[in-house]
Amino acid sequence: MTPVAQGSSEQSLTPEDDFRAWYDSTLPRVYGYLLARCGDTAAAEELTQRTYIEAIRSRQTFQGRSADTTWLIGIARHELLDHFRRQERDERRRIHLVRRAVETDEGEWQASDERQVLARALRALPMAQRMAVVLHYLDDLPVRSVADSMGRSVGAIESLLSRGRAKLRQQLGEDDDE
Amino acid sequence: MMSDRLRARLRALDRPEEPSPAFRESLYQQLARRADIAAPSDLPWTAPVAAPVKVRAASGRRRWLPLLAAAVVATSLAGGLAALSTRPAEQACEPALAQTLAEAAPGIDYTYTAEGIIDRTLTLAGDVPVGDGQVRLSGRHSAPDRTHEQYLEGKEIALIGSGADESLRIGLANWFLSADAAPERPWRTVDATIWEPEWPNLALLPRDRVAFLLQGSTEPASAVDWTALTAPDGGCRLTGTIVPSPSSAARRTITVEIAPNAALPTSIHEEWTDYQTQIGAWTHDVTWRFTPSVEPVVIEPPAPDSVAPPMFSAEDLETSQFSPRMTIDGLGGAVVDVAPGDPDAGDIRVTVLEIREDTGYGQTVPFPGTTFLAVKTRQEALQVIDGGAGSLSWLAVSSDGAYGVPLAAWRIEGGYEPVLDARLGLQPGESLEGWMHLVAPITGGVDMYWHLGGSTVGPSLRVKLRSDPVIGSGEIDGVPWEAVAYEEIGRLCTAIRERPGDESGGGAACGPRLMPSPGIFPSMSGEPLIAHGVTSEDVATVRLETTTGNVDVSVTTLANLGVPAGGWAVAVPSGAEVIFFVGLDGDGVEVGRSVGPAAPSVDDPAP
Repeated sequence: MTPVAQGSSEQSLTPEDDFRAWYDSTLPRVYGYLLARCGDTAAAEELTQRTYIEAIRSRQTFQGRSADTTWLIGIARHELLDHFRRQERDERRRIHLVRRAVETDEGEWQASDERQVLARALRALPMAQRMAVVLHYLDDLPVRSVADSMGRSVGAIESLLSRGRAKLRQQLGEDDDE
Repeated sequence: MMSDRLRARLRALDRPEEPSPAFRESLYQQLARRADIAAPSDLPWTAPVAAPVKVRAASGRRRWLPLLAAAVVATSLAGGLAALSTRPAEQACEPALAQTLAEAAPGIDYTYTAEGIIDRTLTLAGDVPVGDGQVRLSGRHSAPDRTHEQYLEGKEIALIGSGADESLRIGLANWFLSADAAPERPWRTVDATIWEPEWPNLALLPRDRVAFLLQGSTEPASAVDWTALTAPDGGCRLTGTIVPSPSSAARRTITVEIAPNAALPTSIHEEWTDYQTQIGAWTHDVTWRFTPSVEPVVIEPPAPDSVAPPMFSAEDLETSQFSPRMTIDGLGGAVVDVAPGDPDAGDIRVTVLEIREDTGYGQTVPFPGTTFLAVKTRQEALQVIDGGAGSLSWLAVSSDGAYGVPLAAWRIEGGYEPVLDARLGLQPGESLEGWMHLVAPITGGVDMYWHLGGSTVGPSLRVKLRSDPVIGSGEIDGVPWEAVAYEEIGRLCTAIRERPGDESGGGAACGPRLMPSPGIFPSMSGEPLIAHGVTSEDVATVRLETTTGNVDVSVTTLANLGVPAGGWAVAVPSGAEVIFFVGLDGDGVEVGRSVGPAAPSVDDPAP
């Protein structure tokens, strides 16, 4: 996958240009993916940084079988999962129970009430539920894959999804029509 | 289907987002250096390459450098080291020294002052080094202005409930990134939010101890296998090996140099070996050098309510972050549902069994106005707790309610993980019980409350410093009741409760904290009918003039609340209605009265 800098197809691109174009074209997708799931810009930036560092570190593994953005999103998902696990551990160890609220920066979401509502609802979920919901509903992973990713049983994931849905319904003010 | 609708709604979140220009550019610069983009064969975005990635010297201008640097500082100080500050001069150099220091009762009457520099070399095994640099810690610890830590039985290292936030609040110490690492910003404090929870932490215990703790870890100090060697100069060198995980080959080797007759270690060196992470092996080779001083530091008492930074405003405290909120006044318990979306899960009863106010902890001496507390608590899972919900922490709220400060994590003596946790398998009927030892850095007193906050859906527990004085009790139709007096901010109140310590029950009567004399502030509960209230201190007896006769009740002094007032409570005889509440002094002379529900009025005059 070779992104071409816009308006420069007839020019001889330097490696820097190539890198810049690749970076500029992929960054919004990667950052958007992480921001949607983290809900705060600080974490999204941190994970974005990790994603790109890891991508560069392991670039030999990119075989071109998927779009480079897809490849990056795959790395981002791993970083996100690690982030969630850390957060879940935080919850369990009651570390920074209130710090998260201080860190929360909703600036990115001000433009859209609906997205803000969704982001808040997602953030309100206990971390395990949030992981399950994100992986299943946002990333479209089958329950089995979610279970594998989270190291839990399928039944446990279904339970988490059920509770996550209920909580989201409550947060979003939706009726239970399931 | 709900699932489809939910999925569709959530998808609204999923779209490209532009990060801030500053972040975009900063990250680009980092990546450009890292990727060595000048070499075409190294371009992963054009084609996979087989050639090894060039290794380039790390630059200090890294966004994550403060993060990593801070981590290394912390880890260099961690690793299961116990307290090291109170080494007696005659202490022999032997492996037991480490534990001896940990166990030593605090008794050194000086204030710890230290400065140090860490030279750090952190290399990420593989092609790309992460970076290197220096981190400097300077400052001094001169106040019991943080959560009090204690060593638990079994030599387990005490846990810190939070990471960098607290580190940055320890005494006057701050973490700085050195000029070598960030030339354009010579010195700055490390942003606490970039610390990661699994990183160890440094705790400076109040005045008399230095401890190196594994933040968020339950790693016991006993896991350290120490050897000791007497140095030629008469000092002592302790070398310890920590095995963080039985399933891993990872080791931490720590060498502590203790100079002759020194009360603090002069250096700590730590190496990590065989640490594998998801992105490769981490090696740490860190030396922490102390410049200790044991000269007394002048401690200036903090101004009331000015010690704690305004971490959370009163408005914050009222947000959903702390809801649902439950309140326990004094001793007693309340149930909170930490999983309100699930009727079958999440109910926890939190009970404050005992609150002991100490003048000090060990031989530490609190500031004027600082209160040491020992709070015995019990948390019982009435339903299944899972999903990580229900973890608890404490907040101290200033006396005027203007701000709150996170304090100790929930602590259970002699046990790990004092949290409600699904993976601990806390099931209905099981409970955890133990003592918390807290230091209140802000003005102690009846106006101050402790808040127990929750995480995603957290309970909030408000606990008074003292148990409320009982001003009356009895039993009606087999149901025991008691009336207590308590303070709220600026007010003095009485309330009826059902035993034991249950908050449910009748209403509350409140009068001003500084009560005018004479003052009678009565109230009536619902069914059963109980009259209660507060009075000025010159009222010895309250007489209820009722439709069926008079009822006298003695007033209980509330001097132990620090106010010149009294409280009283009495059951109203069945069928009677109170016409007047009359205050009588010690000689039975009326000093004031207040109308009751049956008092004649313009609309309903007396016959």
